[in-house]
Amino acid sequence: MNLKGTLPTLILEVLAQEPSHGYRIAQKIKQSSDGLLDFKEGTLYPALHKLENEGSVESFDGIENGRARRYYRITKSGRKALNEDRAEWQQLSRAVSMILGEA
Amino acid sequence: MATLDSWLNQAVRRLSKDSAETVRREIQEHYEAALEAALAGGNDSQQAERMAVQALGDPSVANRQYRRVLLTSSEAKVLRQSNAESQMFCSNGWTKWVLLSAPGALLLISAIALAMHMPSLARGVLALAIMMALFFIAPFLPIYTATRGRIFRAIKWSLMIGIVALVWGPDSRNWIWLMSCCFYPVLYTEWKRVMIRRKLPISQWPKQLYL
Repeated sequence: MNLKGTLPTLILEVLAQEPSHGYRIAQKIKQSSDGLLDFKEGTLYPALHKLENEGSVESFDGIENGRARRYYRITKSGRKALNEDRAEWQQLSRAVSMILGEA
Repeated sequence: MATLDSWLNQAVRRLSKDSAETVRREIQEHYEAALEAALAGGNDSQQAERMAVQALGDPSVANRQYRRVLLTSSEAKVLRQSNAESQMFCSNGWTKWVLLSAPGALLLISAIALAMHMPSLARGVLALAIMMALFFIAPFLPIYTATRGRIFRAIKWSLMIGIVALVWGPDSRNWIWLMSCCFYPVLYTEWKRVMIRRKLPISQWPKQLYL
């Protein structure tokens, strides 16, 4: 399943828990959704760059297992954007559930 | 079977050298991590490589997305050229003063032409003076914040449209084809600057992006 446009929100959600690098972000999204949300990993980085340009995340260099890695962490404005996205998503999901008669 | 190299070559098409370097580094890092995980999962090396490349997806889709967020080679070229022009303009003392005084001199000529009852010449020279002032005086104005830059650009475009109306009057619409041809390089550069502004964080903007 690929919900277009939700990737930035999912990335922010993962980074809200702890700073992480691209591969781990991709794995966490897949694991947290039981593999249901599958996206092509090559599209993760353009989304990360976009978030960085907007000031929602910032990157820094780190080391994992002796290997240099680019880490990302959420910023204050990123947390604000995440809260707004969460509220929007809940509203949308409630509305769709109502239409489908599941509310 | 697509290898990582061919994937990367497609993914970095038309990106600037720096952007391509960034993409190569981050995808290489990602690929190595994916490869390690696949090997740890009991796959043989060929299978692991195939899985790691497949997980990256379609390189042309990635390329399209990268071009939306990272500088392309044409944008980097515009940025480089603008940097070189402004450096040349600002570092040479006498060029700077000649260019700064040119709009004033043209304004004076325009006033003289008007006094000598030559309104069409006065109008043309006035338009040229405004145009030169926009391009040559603007870099020395205190407009280097996001909001001030935005206000300046709104004024600049309003004035440019005003100049066209001033020179051609009601015939402006008939001259659109000529204006489009003459101003194509300016419009192209401006369009590229709009794209660059979207891609670079404000903290990294060189001065000419505010103009």
